[in-house]
Amino acid sequence: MSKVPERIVVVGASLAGLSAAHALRAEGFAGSLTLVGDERHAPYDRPPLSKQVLRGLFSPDTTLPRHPDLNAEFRLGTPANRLDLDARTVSLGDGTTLAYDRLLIATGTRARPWSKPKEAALDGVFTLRNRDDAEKLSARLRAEPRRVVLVGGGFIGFEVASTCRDLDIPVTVLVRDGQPLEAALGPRLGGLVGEIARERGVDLRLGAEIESMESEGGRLTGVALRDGERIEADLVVVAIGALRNVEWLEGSGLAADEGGVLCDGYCRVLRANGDIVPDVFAAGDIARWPNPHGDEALVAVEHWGNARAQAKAAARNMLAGPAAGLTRHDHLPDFWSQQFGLTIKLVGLTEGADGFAIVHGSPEERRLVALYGRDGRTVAAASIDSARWLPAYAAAIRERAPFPPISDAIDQPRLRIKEP
Amino acid sequence: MVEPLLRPSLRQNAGRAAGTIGRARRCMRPSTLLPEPDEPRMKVVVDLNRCQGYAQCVYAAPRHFVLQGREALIYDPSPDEAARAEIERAVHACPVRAITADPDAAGEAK
Repeated sequence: MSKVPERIVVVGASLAGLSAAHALRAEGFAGSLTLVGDERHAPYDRPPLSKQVLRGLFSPDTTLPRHPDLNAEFRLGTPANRLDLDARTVSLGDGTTLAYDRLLIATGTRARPWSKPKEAALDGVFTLRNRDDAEKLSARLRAEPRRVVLVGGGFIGFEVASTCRDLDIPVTVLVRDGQPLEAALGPRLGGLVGEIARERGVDLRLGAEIESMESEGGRLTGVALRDGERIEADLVVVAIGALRNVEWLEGSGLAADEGGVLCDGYCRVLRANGDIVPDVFAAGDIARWPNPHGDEALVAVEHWGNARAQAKAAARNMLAGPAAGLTRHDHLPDFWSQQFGLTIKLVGLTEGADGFAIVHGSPEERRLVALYGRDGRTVAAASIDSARWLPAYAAAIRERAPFPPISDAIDQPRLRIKEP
Repeated sequence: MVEPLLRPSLRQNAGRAAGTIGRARRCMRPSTLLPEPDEPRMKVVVDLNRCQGYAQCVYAAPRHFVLQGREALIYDPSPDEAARAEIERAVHACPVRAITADPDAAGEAK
């Protein structure tokens, strides 16, 4: 590690970038601090965009709190377009160049666009990732559309569908593969959420795919499904995942691809040949890192809590002198979603789970805690409207507690282990 | 009332980092200034991973925090400056310390 840094550049001015900036100052960094953002907005919070902002409750201004002592320079509306590791510079879209002693890469993700550009450009076809998307979509929802079609079986799609039902707008959700939310929650809980969505009036179609979008004069009028059915709709919201913003790193020599920017457990990025770049770090959605809670398998975790935790670990490590120990990023992935009046939370990662057990509540009550096991260990816990139990299970997951958990506890006499 | 950004032990080493934002803002080139809102507004964010639906914020600041269903908290991310006392009550009432509100800009470096 080189000498004490004087200039720190953070590329990406969203949750991870701002959290890192706060942490750098809190850790005593007094030098020049610059945050680069491609959007013109000051750092803002994204989770409310698919919920209360869309619904028009409270203010759409979700600008994140900034400490008055932050003393950072913000270069907003100017994307970074090149990184030169040898010169230690970042080039920006406005033609300027920033020199750094330490760099944090926190450029995150963008919405995966609809695969047919002509359809994606139709008036009435949306993706939802940033504040401008949310404000435009919110205005269209308030104009009383005949029907909204959601494409995708993930959390954003279901949150938008829930908002549509709150606004009494007819909504169809098209899920191509498996059950809704299956990637995060597994088919069993995903299926339960799908059932709840149907009870709340969502027209949920499993195994359904759009063949083509229909339009008149550049304006969407409906969609034709693969099975031949036509659905009239004024709006389509495409919520089919995210793409990582790694293009600006092309040619830099870093190990960066569509899977993210590869880094070690201390948030230090790696070159394509596996060497550590000691002065360049990554945090948030874009970072792909070895997760100690998942046998050191590489993961990119696109969650709010990880962005904050990883930014803090990266900030600490950016300032650690040669004598100081580095801080391991060992955050246990966690997230929440609010939909159909329920709060769904998850800690840990369910990927590869081979066992599932409901340990509190029941699907019928719409209130439960479920554990996920893999190879005899508890790897994740999900709650529906039972968040107060989760910290205890998070501790169990961190400690690699056995799965199945105690199966003859006096308050859980009928614990049944099933497939997830 | 606002937690200092720097730990006390680090403050003296922090030099111009602490308490100089007002001066720094005036010195910066105009293009680097953040857009200023029309009227002063607080900024609020809640860590909903932490939130467990104890609803103390809802009692402390009912116009700015609302519980929908059993534990789905929604809140005003940009409350009017006039709500400051209420919002600060909510921040302190939260048993899991999930609420962050921006500090009094006039109270820098207290």
